[in-house]
Amino acid sequence: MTTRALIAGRGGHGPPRPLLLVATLVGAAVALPAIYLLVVVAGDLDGAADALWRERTARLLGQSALLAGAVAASAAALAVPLAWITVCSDLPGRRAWAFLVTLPLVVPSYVGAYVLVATLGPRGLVHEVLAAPLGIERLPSIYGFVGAWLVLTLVTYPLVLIPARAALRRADPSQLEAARGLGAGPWRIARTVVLPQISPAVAAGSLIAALYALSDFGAVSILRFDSFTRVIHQSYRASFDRTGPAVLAAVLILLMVVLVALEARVRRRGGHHRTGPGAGRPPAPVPLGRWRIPALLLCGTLVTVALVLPVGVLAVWALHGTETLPWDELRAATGNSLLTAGLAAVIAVAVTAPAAWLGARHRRRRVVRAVEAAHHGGYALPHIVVALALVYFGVRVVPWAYQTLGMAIFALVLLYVPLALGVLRSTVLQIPPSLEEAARGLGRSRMAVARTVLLPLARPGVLAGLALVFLTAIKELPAMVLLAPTEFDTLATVLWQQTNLSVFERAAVPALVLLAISAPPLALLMGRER
Amino acid sequence: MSGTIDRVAGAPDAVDGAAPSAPAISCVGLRKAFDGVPAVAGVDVDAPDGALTAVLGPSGCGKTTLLRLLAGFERPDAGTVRVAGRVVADDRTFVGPDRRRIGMVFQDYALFPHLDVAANVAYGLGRRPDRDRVAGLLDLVGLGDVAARRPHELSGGQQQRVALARALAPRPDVVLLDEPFSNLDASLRGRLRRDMRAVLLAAGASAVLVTHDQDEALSLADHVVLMRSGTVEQVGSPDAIYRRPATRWAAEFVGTVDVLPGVAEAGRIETPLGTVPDPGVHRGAVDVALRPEDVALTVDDEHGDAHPVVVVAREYYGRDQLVTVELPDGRRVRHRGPGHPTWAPGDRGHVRVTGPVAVVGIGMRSPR
Repeated sequence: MTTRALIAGRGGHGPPRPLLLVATLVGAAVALPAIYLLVVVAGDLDGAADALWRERTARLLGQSALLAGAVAASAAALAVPLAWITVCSDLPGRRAWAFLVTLPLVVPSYVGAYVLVATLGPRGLVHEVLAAPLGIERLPSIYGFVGAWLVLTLVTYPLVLIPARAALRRADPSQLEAARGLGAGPWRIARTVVLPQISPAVAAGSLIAALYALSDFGAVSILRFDSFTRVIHQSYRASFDRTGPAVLAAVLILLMVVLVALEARVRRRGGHHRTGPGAGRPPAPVPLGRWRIPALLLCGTLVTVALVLPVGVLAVWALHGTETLPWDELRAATGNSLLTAGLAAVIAVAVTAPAAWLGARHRRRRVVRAVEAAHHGGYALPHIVVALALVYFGVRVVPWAYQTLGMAIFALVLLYVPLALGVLRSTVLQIPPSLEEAARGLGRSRMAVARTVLLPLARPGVLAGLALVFLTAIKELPAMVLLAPTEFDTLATVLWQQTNLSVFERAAVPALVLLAISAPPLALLMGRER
Repeated sequence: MSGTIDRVAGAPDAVDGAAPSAPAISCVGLRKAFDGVPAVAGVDVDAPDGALTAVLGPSGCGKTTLLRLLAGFERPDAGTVRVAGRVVADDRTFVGPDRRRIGMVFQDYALFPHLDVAANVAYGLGRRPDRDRVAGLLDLVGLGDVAARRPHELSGGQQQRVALARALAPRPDVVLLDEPFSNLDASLRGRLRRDMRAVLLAAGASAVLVTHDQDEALSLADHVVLMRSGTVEQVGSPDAIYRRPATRWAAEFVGTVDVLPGVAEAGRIETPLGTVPDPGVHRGAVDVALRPEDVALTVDDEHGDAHPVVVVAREYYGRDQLVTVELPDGRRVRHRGPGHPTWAPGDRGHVRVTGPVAVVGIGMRSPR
């Protein structure tokens, strides 16, 4: 290691105070919802104990864990064969398939739930077109566990697929060749070489899928499955009791924290499977032989069920009700969505910049790591929990801000600070620190260096961060449901309300607009990352 | 930025410090530790004005930290740094890197990738850079024809010259160079060293160069600071460092050396290779360092004062060869000489000390 490398990352004379101050404030703001929930719980310990030791809590824990576990398992079961087929086999058009089977990631869970209900639910397409004319009154119910499991699996399996594909492509092909040279057959190679190579990535991806399922609000609330998020929302709506929902939220956070810690651990352990410095020589594709048709069927079915069918169903419903649609309401909702997501993106990126710079340049400072951890902590907070905490905080501490647009934007910013931080920090890390030092040595102040060196070089990363936050925030449902001012609807809230009322034709257009706005650019971003 | 206002910023003590004889850089008792591990552990060193000083040492000896302390990228734990007589860091003062009037050439050159060559050089000249100054500097480093190119379109050697021109542009009091040749082909280095030396001379700049390469330090510098584990091992001219190493470690780090035991008495030292003149005034047991080029190896004992040896190994470099020989008592010394005649293991010959030796260890100091 050179002297230079030893020096890098040690930080110079302390990080600049103003930056540290901003980063600390933002970190504190991100931590605020969780802390305030604890304050609410602590304020009514007896009530909290009552709420906690109820049969309902145990049932909820069981149901939520079941859903998260089932989604993680089925997502992995879909993703592992898909990853292998699209990386290692001779499947015709495997690049295109790889892209297509990853796309369902951009479908919000509540759109998936809408499609399911609008197709197979009461008053759904199948009922209207097939069952009713045949005199069948009721279809088997899609509400509850099965529906939620199906929808969440279809929108989360890409979260396992992406890291699994990356692991397979990083894997050392010479290990395969060595195993083959030692006389192992294809199944033995799969079991003893390939699986160990990708299992850390698959485990980490599955945990992220479980986190998604645990914190999802849209799909479970539309499909009426009693997981934590839905019950938290319901009991908040049903009573003035704060303690009950707050206790449930705290339990959910605890569950999330355990999974997040587990995920970080699994991820740290992974990636040590390459022993030699072997060059990235791509292995020869494995011929599928008679498995080619089943492989094609798997990919084709997934793309049909998770992409083609939803868009088709949405289109049918949208056309179904064009005459009666309240276009003004839609226009307003579109405008509101663009406005909130746009503001959230700009503010989140701006307030995260100091923490991103500190995280990249002063990594070894304990205070910087603490601030970074606070920023990242947002990942462990389900959006419904953050929103609920801010409702309580708003009502009790800042009533003048409660039910204002500002509060909703504030919530969005808190929710998407971790996303912005990830993008911005990796951007700063790509800019050598010596460039900043060179500029300082040439007589420029820190501000001037930021303006003339950092900003021009970070521009692509800043734009990517803005785009990513905007495209994700525009789909936000729970925070808008709880915190948006009355009569302030976004595309997501319109879709959610109308679906819950089974007014499918009025939910279809917002869903299509949402997909049209967010899906193509997200797909592009995803495509560029790989 | 006004390049004409020289050395006025700072406290009143800058006035007496700015006397013509003030060293370009001076540090006293400089210390810096990272996470409790000392990187610079008490360094006193001066870089003379108008000269090129090389800080030479192995990786991890603290030389880059020293450079960064001088430039203001690190704040010292203790000690004082003066630039052209002005205090820039001590217990109370810390002048930021932007106000130190120091130019820095980084190991990776750190050229701004979003700016063209001319804009890189002009960066330190403020908002309205003097175009003639930029053009003049680019001509000085021989890059007038690539002013409009971006750094990534240049070769490594060209990038290094842009970095040098950029560092010189604001007329700094000192230029610091951090391993400036380490990213270049060995075949290019010789020429680029001469070029850099010429540019620094033409610009009249004082310079401090950090390097782990002894050839670079000896061939380029007027003044060498040898560092080891965060402290200064020896300071001197290249010739003094090579010819009169202060310690055994210094002798072994700079070039090849064999160390023999000797006994000093009355200006002479008795060694297993005969009696040699004492370079200092010693008495009693001493360690004597012998450069292989000061050991002659011949087939016959031509002068009657040589010692019989057997060749045990030979490393051949074309222009010269390094031959290891063994004395009858089993002791080994090395001889460096022309690439011919061809010595082979097993050959018999005679060695004789032909050059001065250095005393690098003292068993018993003379009472004086």
